[in-house]
Amino acid sequence: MERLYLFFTLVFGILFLAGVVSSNDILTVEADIFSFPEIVMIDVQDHIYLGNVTVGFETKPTSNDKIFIKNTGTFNVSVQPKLVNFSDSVFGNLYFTKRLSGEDYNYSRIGQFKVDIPWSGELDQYEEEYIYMKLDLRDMENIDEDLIGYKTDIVFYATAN
Amino acid sequence: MQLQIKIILGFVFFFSIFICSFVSGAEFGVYPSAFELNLNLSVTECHEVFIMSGFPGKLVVKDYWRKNGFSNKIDDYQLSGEEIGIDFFYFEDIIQKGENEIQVCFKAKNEGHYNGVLLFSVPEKRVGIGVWTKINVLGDELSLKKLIESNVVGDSNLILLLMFETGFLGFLTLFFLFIVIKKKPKL
Repeated sequence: MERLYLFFTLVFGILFLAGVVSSNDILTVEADIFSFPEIVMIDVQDHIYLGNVTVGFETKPTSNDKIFIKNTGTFNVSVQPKLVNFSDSVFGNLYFTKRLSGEDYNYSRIGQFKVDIPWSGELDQYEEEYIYMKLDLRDMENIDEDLIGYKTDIVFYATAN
Repeated sequence: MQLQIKIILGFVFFFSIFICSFVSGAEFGVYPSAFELNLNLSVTECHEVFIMSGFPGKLVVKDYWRKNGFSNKIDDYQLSGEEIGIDFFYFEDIIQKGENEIQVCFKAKNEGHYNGVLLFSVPEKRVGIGVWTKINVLGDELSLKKLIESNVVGDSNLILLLMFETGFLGFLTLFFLFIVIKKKPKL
């Protein structure tokens, strides 16, 4: 009886191996290969309200006033805010800092500030950084009339590092 | 009735979340991130640039230049195209959501090598991308070098061309020698 079991085990074993290890079978492997998307891409919130500010004073950003910038591309990028109207006497006094305290607390005037955001390393993920902005009108000459709802266009430009 | 209202409100709530998760606010991208272009004097050359946008809008592209090599700071590019003698223009100032292809074109008045940055933006969305640009403006003397360096007549093609020309000139020399010898009066 044991020999019979051994015989059938051997027969089925050989048949099984013969089915798996067949030199004539060709395994076709298929994949869709996409070129690597080399793109500089960011995502920035499109409206920032600074609140009320009086000539001779400055705004005081809090931890709720973060401006979020996402690096959604495939490069390490530097992001730099710039005024569309360079000669704007009010918003030329915008200052930016990465943090409100610690090592990265350092306000720089618009035009001199930039923040680096690395690439996440994955195509379906992004890295995010945040910064703070204040309007410092302490050195500004007084104005004749109040400017209610005064707006300007700032553009956050990203460049590949 | 209250249950139906709750179901509808729940559906609206989850549908809103669904929509929010798929519509990106102000995503804006450009590729390539940098390019180099060889120009001949007073000849317009264009380059393709692709824009990926999460929104439709009015595109603004500005060019800024410098003469002292590459810098990775936008503010180091202070010269206008007019100041260095490069006319810059582009087609299509309205972009759609998704991928957009535009042509950026240059025409140069002076020889030289110029580094620049093209600032692509949709100002109303507060987002922009800077593309590093290098323009080599070649005069007539540099055109042959450019031709040799270009893909049209590459190094291997140039060698074949020289071999063909040498062979052809050799054949002509032999042919004329043969005629001269044949016509020589017999003494």
